[in-house]
Formats: sequence, structure tokens, C-alpha cells
Amino acid sequence: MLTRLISLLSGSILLLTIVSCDKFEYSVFEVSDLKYQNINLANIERLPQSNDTFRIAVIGDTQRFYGQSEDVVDLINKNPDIDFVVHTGDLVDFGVQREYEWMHEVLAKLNAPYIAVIGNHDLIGNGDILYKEMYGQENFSFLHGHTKFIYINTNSREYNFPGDVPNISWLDSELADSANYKQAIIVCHVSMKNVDFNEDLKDPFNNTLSKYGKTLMGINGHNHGFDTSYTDGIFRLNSSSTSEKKYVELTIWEGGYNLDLVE
Amino acid sequence: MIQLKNICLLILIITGSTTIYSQDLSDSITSKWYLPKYIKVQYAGNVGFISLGPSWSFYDEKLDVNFLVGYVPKFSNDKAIFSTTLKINLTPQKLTVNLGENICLNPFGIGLTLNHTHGKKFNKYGNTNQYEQGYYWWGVPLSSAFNLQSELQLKLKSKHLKRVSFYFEFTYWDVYFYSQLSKENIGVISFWDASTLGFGTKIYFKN
Repeated sequence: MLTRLISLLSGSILLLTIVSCDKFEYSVFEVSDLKYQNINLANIERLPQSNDTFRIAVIGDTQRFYGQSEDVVDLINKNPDIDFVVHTGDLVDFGVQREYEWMHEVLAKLNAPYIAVIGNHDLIGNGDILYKEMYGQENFSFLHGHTKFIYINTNSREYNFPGDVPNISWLDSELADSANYKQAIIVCHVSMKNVDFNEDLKDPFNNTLSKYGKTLMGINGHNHGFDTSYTDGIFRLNSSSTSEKKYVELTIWEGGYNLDLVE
Repeated sequence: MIQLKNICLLILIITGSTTIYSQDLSDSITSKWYLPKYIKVQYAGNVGFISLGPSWSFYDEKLDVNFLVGYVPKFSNDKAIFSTTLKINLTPQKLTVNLGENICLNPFGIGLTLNHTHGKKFNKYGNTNQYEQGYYWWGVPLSSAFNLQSELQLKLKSKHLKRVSFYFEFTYWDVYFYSQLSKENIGVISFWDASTLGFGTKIYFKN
């Protein structure tokens, strides 16, 4: 009787587990049975054909601002001319799997594909592994018409300021391929003006940006507030955090751009 | 899709059931209060893929204190995770339902869980070489949770074991609670989204 009862119990528990499996978590920091993978690559493949003049939306620092991010998603979806959405990093706050999945479920409601760079918060705990498995490489690039978008990990502090974050030689090789693109836009999370960027790499980073004369602008997040500036002759755009319920609409053509803060 | 977790769980249930029948734990145990009353083995609930450890009971088993060591095997590109857990559970015995001579149900118990995950990677707050104090205010290896349990207790006719119980636990962790704190997130992150489940067994020694 007892044996039967125990097997009945084990059986029903097992059944229940299969029914609602993702509720049985082993650790807040676990990386297991990911629902979404290679989001960036899949979204790059979804990019529409580019016109000579095209429009993108820039958002960032979504962290735990799920509700506000949904509002920004709705706002962007009202604009049918957006080719894709640049996310300037800090997708999540604590770098845990549930947050990563929750935030993707919000951002996946965007009509346009979104492509995200890695932020410092995305790297916390096992976040480095989660980003890699869910989004892909931390340094990557793609072409949209005449413009090359170069996404680079600049979160130096998260690695305690080694010499290869950001990876300047990789950036150089991406820009050196100048026969294949007309202009470049560099997307990163931590701006080189920030204390979380490796001080020793500021000059090499800037020199590389201007070396081939084709960098149109740098886009970054981290500072949670829309801001623009010219530093060393290059235009820099700091995205607005979705907590502010705003996004930057960026219109790009060969040799020029226009931007609007939409709220 | 058969998930990796489910295969592991099946192995755990098989090995777990074997353990219950074969374990010989009790010879040297007496009824001194500081000696553990039972061993708890838990599956999931964010304290390990499997966690186990000694437990103590006080006030006629109304208050339980569990100490658990948890292990999460490497599932992906991550490393195995080790953690230690302290749990305090309260079971109001007024609610106990006798289902038979040797079986009773404690439908409702509440508890608090404190879990410490080992590894420098999980301790951002304490890492002042790299960050200013408070750079990541929550970045501690400690997580706390509120939990609710239901348990079924069975009296055994074994020579060495007194009782065995099976419990099911609902846990609400602080890390996920923070995502619910903002009123902007109401309707986006639900209470159910932010909760986790676990279950386990308690193996009581004969005094």
C-alpha cells in the first residue's frame, strides 16, 4: 500500500513538473532550457531592404522598466517607417535568466527587429553566458544599405579593465574593410567619456574611430538620458532609457543624419 | 520537447526512492535536541537542482529549521553552482488532517528562506576592488524568499526510520519581487511569473 502511494505521489509530481516545468528553478543564477536563442542574428536576417535614406529607432537601458518599455514599444510600433531598433544595452538589471526572458517578451512585440549591444548589467552573475546564448556574440557588425553598424562591448569595468575590452584590434579590422561600406555607426553601451570605460583605451579607441574617416557617429547608453555631443570630431548620441518613455528616431542618409526625440 | 531538467528529475526520483528504502541512518541517534531530527532532500525551489541537509524541529514540530547544501550541475556554458540555505518553517498543527492510521496531511505551512550562492562572480557588492561600494546595491550572493508548503506525512514500519514526508513548496524570491515593485510593471510581471516551485522529502530517524 505504501509503495503504491509513494509511486503514485512521485508519478503525479513528475506529471506536474512536465506541465509547468519552468517554475522549477534550481538557482536564481541558473542558465538552463533557454526559451530564446540567437536573437540578434535572427533579427539581422529580418532586416528590410534599405533605401538610400532610412529610419531607425534608438532605445536602451530597459532594465526592470518592463511597463515603460512596453509603452515605448507601442510608441515605436506607431511609426511604420522604422527599419530596425537599436538597443544600447542593459537589457536587464540583475543579469538573471527570468529577467532576460521577460524583457525579450516585451521587446519581441516590436514590429521592427531589434538588435541589442551588451551592457554592464547584462553581464552580472551568469549574465555573460545568458547574453551570449540568447543574443550571440558581444562584438559583431552588419550592413544596412550603405551603412555598417558595428556593435562593440565597452563594459571595461565588468572585467576589471583588461586591455581588450573594448577590443580595439577587432574594431580596427571592422573599420579597415572600408571598400565594402560608405559610413559606419558604432554602437556600444558605456561611452568612452564614462569612468566605467578603460581610461587607457580612450585614445586608441578614438584614434581608431577617426582612422578611416568613415565613422558617422557613436551611439551609446548607460547614462539614462538623451544627450548629444561632439567629441574629437565625432558625433555621439546617448540614448534615452525606456524608463523615460521616449525613444530617438534617427534618419540616416549617406553623409548625414537627423534625429528626433519622440515621446 | 523533452527538457534536460525533466530527464535529471526522473533520475533524481529513481535514486531518491531507492535511498528511502535502503538508508540506514539512525543507529547512533538519540533524542537530544541538538541532534538533527530528519534529513531533508529538496528538488528545485532555487536552492539547488538537489539540496540536502540536516533539520531540527522544535515546539512539537511547529517550528522547523533546515540547513541545506545545494548543487546545480552545469547545464550549458555555465559552471556548476553550489549554495547553502537556511530555512525556517512554521506548521500550524491545528490544520493537520488525518487521512488514515499512518498518514496525515499538513495542508499549510509558511517559511522564510535565506540562500547564499558561492562564487566571486555572484558577489558584486563585496567586490570593492572593481566597484565603488553600492555600485550594484543588490549585488550580493544572498537571496531571501517567502515560501508556502503542503506536506504529506507517512508513518513507517521500518526498523530504522520513523516517518517520511513529501512536501510541495511555492517560493517567492526577492530578486523577482523587485521586478514587481514598480507600479508600472503591474500587469506585465505577475505574481505567478515571479514565483518558483520546489518539492522534496523529509526522512525522520527513529529515536
